[in-house]
Amino acid sequence: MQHDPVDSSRRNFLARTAAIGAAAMAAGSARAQTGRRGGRLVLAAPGGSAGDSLDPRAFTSVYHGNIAYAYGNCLTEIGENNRVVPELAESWEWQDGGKRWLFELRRGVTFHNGKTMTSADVVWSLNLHRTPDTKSGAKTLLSPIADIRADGPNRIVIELAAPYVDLPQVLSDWHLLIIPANTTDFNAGIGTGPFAVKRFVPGQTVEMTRNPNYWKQGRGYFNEVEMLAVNDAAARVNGLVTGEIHLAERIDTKTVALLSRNTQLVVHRTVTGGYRPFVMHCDTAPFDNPDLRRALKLAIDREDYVKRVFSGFGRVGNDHPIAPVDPMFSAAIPQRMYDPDQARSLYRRSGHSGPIVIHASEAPYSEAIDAVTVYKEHAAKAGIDIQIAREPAAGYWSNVWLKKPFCVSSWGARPTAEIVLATAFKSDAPFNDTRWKNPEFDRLLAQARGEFNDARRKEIYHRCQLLIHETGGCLNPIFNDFVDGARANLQGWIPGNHGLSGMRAAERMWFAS
Amino acid sequence: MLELVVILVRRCAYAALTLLAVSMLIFAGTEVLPGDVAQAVLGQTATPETVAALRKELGLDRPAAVRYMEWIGGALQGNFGKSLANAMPVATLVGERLDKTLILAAAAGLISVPLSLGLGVVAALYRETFIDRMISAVTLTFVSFPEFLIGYALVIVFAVELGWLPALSNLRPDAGVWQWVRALTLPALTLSLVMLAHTMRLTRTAIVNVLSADYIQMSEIKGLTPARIIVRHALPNVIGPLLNIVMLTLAYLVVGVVVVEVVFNYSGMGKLMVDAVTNRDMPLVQACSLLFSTVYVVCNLLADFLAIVANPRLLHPK
Repeated sequence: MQHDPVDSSRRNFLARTAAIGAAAMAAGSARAQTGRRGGRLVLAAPGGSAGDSLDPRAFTSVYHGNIAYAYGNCLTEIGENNRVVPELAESWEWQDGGKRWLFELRRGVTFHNGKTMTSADVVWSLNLHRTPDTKSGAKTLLSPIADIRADGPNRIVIELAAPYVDLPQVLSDWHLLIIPANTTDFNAGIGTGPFAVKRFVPGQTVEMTRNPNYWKQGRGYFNEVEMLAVNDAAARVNGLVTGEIHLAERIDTKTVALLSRNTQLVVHRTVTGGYRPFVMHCDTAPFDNPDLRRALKLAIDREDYVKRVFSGFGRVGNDHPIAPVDPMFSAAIPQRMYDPDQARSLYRRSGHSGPIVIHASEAPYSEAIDAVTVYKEHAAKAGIDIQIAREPAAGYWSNVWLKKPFCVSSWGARPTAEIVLATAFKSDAPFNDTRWKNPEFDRLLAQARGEFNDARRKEIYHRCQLLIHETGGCLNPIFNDFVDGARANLQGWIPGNHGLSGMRAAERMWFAS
Repeated sequence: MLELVVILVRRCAYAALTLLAVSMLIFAGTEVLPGDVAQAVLGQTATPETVAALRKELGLDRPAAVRYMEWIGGALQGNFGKSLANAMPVATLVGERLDKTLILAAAAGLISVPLSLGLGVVAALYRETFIDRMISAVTLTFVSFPEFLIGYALVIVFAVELGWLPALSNLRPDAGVWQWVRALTLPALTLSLVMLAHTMRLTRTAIVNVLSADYIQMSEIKGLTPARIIVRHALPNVIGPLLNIVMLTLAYLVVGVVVVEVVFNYSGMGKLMVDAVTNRDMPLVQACSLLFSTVYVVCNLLADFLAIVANPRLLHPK
């Protein structure tokens, strides 16, 4: 029989998955020896409100994310180095070119109420986010899925409309917790996670106690965890300094220098895929002129910008949305540098005269006004007059973003490069804030979704990034870092793809003393 | 006695009219807030179709006057509608938090009223001396700081540096009285310091006015002791204005909690209202505004009424 390359890559994939699983378990049990049980963790994060619930469909903020990963697990987890590792799914394989995925479930996992987790619970939990009228934040993530069904008590089958390589990454999303089938009282917080919910006051606090039957080795050390909803950044820092709070999510970057001097605190920097571009409409004058777009992109000194506006907390961007931490990042595209002379000549060649208006407010991020002010300075040296139109923060996302031809925007991280590109750069995407329509890009994107060969995939994404870098309306000078604060006696921090160790700090950390 | 009742009824009627006018202003105010409610609720999942569908579901496509009548009609029956963020009845959400805010306001009142009355009396008795000027200078300094700045300053001194009191006012249900006291001290102090100059100087003025009256002079000439003068002749005439000041202080305290609750992360109505505004949760914002306005109007009403009771001369305006 002719050696089928697809078959062998599938076998390799299976082998790789098993190896990752084994490594994770081994690493986990190694960690089990280093962590210390005990203590009561108090964690504070922004984004709680009086209308909160523990229904996974209602999760929207990092506060909810931290709660989610404390009381529940997903099928997969994003582990070290942003690689996907097994969680409630022990292993997985794809068939039919990537249109069908089989997930083998871990056996012997129990929920906090004693019930054993089976495939029926998994199917029910995932389908919560797939009903047509659901308002769940995970709805678009699961939209490529055509059908989910159980195949025996320990396996589920997911059918897709088209091959989709990134399905395991997507299933690690914090909305997609596995909870008991037919749950009606979501606020009881029954899950498989390291901590069981004891008391939940929406918008105020969640109190949890350690789950003694937690299946994951090397995780879940605290005896009790309290997660406070503290929306005010200064209040979070105050609590951290006095020791009332042990972990604070989202510290203002401007205060980091001062906090670092405090020997009882540790400041953790989280590098994510979030980015903060200036977006221009490629179909609206004067930005429909490619020379003008390039001139504007050359007229910013990116290193200076990152240092002055964000106190150095970020990586320089190259006018496309894929971050250096993403495995699909293309290092082959030369970094665009500040070139006022070339900017000036391109600007003149475009034939545009007069000021160029950029709309900004604090709504996307608090440093936005500083950001455009610094850009204005840089562009002035290239002979380009940037005029800043300050917009009110309230209603920015309804009235300015997507509407004004040149404005400040902000994007949070997404699980995969594919989702980043599809959400904002596909021709027909509702959130295409640069109105950039490139048929070749669309074709490449669709091709990459079903491409299982890593090298070929990377090459396709390289071409996508190059297209955006050269012709797009996205001036992206930075991939911003987030900063969290922790008391110095906490250990076990693993850098993650979100703040507070991927929002899993409660599960991963312990008190050293 | 009859005149008193008549005045009370008339004042109540005015208060009701005031509240009605305020409710219209609140409703109009939330209408002109920028940003579409449906869009804010849907957030990143908003597309033109889903926004239109949600607007229809919330009844936002009906004229404003109709929605106002519906709202005020429901409000009079105690039904403030459902929160947009989570479909819980607004009355429940507010009810859970209202008593915490009232406790905080009462605590602030316990600090503020004796402090300002006492300082006002001292300033009046030693008027035009160094003591009087010092008291004025210090309290006016506090007034010129914004509330949150005073709050953070107190946190730095008492929580971070000295460690005597907590920086955040989180209270578990099993918290004892002592924990309540510790948690409420800094927020209550913040509120008090902001109002201090105003109420202290009002007290001082009221007492100075009374002490410079002819009958006081007469009492001094008669040879009465200062204590007797103050207790029998000065104080009864000062009570009216003082009660007025106390009620206005309490009115301000209930409303002024908004910023203080955010600074100290105290889960009362102030924090609820700030969150509601951020989330564009209109029914909740309207209910909170109406509640705060009611408290203010009722306190003013009580202030007027008590002033009249204490000073029968006001029954017969010249």
